[in-house]
Amino acid sequence: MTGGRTLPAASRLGDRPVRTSVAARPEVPTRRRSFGGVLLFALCGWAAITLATARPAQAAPYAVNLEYRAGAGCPAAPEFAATVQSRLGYDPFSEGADEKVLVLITSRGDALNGRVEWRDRHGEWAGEQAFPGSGTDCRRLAHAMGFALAVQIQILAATRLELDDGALPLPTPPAREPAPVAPPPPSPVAPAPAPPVTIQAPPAVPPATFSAGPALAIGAGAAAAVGMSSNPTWSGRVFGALAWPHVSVELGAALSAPDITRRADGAGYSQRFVFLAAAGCATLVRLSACLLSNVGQVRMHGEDIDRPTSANVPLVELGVRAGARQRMGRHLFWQAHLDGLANLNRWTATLDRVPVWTAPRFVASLGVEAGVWIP
Amino acid sequence: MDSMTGARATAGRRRACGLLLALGALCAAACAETRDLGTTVPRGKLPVDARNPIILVNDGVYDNWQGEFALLMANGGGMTLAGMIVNTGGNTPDINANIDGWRKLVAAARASGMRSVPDPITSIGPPLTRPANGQFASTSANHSEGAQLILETSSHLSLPYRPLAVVCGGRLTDVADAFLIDPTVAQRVVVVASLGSLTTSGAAMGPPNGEMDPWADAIVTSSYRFVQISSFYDQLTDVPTSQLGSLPTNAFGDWITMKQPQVWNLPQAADQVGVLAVGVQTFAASVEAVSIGPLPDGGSAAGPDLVAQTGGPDWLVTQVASADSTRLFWQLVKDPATYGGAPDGGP
Repeated sequence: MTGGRTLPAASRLGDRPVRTSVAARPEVPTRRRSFGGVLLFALCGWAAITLATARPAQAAPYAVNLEYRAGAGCPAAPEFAATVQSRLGYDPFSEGADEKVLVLITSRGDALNGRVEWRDRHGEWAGEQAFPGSGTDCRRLAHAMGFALAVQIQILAATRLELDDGALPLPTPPAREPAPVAPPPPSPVAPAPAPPVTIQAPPAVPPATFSAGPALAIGAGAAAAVGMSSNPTWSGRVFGALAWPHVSVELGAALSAPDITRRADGAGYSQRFVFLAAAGCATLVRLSACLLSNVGQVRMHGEDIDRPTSANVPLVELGVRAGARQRMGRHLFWQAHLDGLANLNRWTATLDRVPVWTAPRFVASLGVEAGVWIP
Repeated sequence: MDSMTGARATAGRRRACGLLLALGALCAAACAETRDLGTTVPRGKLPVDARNPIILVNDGVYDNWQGEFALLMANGGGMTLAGMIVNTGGNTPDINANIDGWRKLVAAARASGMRSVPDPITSIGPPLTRPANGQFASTSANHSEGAQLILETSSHLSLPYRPLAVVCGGRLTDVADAFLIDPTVAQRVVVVASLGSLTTSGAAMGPPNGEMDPWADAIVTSSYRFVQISSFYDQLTDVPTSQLGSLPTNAFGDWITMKQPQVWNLPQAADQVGVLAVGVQTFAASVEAVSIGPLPDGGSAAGPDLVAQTGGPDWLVTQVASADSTRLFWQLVKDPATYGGAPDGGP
């Protein structure tokens, strides 16, 4: 029943710029990816967020303009469209859609031939599927073609989602060779060819379109770091980011909560950090890898000691970041990142001239943030 | 064309390697900074206070309240009593009798519920002999048990900002012995001695206690940070007979009641002044800086004189204020918290 088939390339059908920027991605079902051991910890938090916010897969608002031609004895256009709709669970047909599908049933001798032909927004051939020599039962053939068309629409809708999401490679380009069945000379079953029938459906919601420039995001969050003090330290952070499809830059400012390190007799010192962070990232779908630098100040003050004093030291850190981002609706997103940093300026805090704590060479930080893409 | 592409790729790789090398060099050459965020200052006029761990050194137990004050402050006043060394003195030459008395004190304290009560140890060693060349290093050490305890305890508990206080109510033999064994002990210990008498120029290291080992006096004053308390008070006012009925009805109260008639009616016997100078901020009311006079010769009956001198390395307590300490004694001895119970006014 199925003949040669060439599915249209989504890129051709869509012929729209594909954005891999997170800002441009519509919501998609959860997809798990491995990014190496170093990301495991960060991804746990991200995965938790994702799981908490993931929604069941939904049909995308994919729409196509249907042109149906068939002779007498065949189902009428609305009946054919209803066959497809019942398979899909929604009405994919819209007169205003860019892509067009032509469903044609012709006869050659005693046999019926079917063809589903796809055309892109410019009206050019983009792929087709033939149903040659399919007997004489036109209703049966139309039913089979409706089923095939529903499957194709499903595939295209899913492919479009992935392309818009930037998650998957493009489908194989369509073969330039024509389908096995060449367009036959018109020999409809009916005495005269039926006029083309266009099924009009309520306009589908078009996918969001975006400008070609960088996307701007701002956000805030919290991070926990080890190596910045004798205890894990917590900090709050605000950031702004400019993102292109595969590159982004980010600037942030962070302020840590005071953390107190004590020696055995209870005397100690508190310290907190304030710093600016700059990151340049390469992004791949939801994941990113960045070069990161923090520059700021460590502010310290003696606590519970007879004569406390205060001191500041420069904070200079350089390192890498591995991050993951999850979209939450049209504009919001969550992101988690794991930073590995080297302290370029190590400091030692002393009390009574006796070292209490020395900053280690390396620092690790795990951050979780929420942000919004600014249209 | 291919060669140009290859050259660009090579240059890119070189730049990447250069960047990595620069980053590595930056990490290797990373700066290090040190910031001091506070200083501990002794509370009071002496180099030690109630936060310093202490070791008691004494001979007999019945002539004063040194042991009782130390135990009360260790169990209710926050002091750390790290050890008790029992040796002999001119009036208490029997080490067995001395240690027996201290053990009874300890037993009474523990029976009443006190928990910070170290076992007293005996320390056997004669007074040190001045060598012919007059050099400390040529002195024969006793290697006494007391000296060993001082060495070990100072190693464990002493901190640069909080040295161990060795509070002596007798001769300084064990402290000097510890220095002879390991001179570095002087960096970890401050010696506080109830000893000697005031003079017009400072103090003499004679009776009480100073006359028993003049050469040890010389070693200690020359080697350690040294506090001499040569001011005493009437220790009979601490526990007058009229207040015996106010003592707690426990083993410690019974011990004090039993001992009270035996306490010497002699201010110079009040060795508790050393403990009080450390533990009660207001007790050392007047303190002078002193330096060490000429060292004694072999036949001297006293240690070197302490000469008042601004900026002198040692401390001389010339006046004490006993009212606060007596009040503290009664507060602690009657407080159930001293014996492991709920404090006064508590649940």
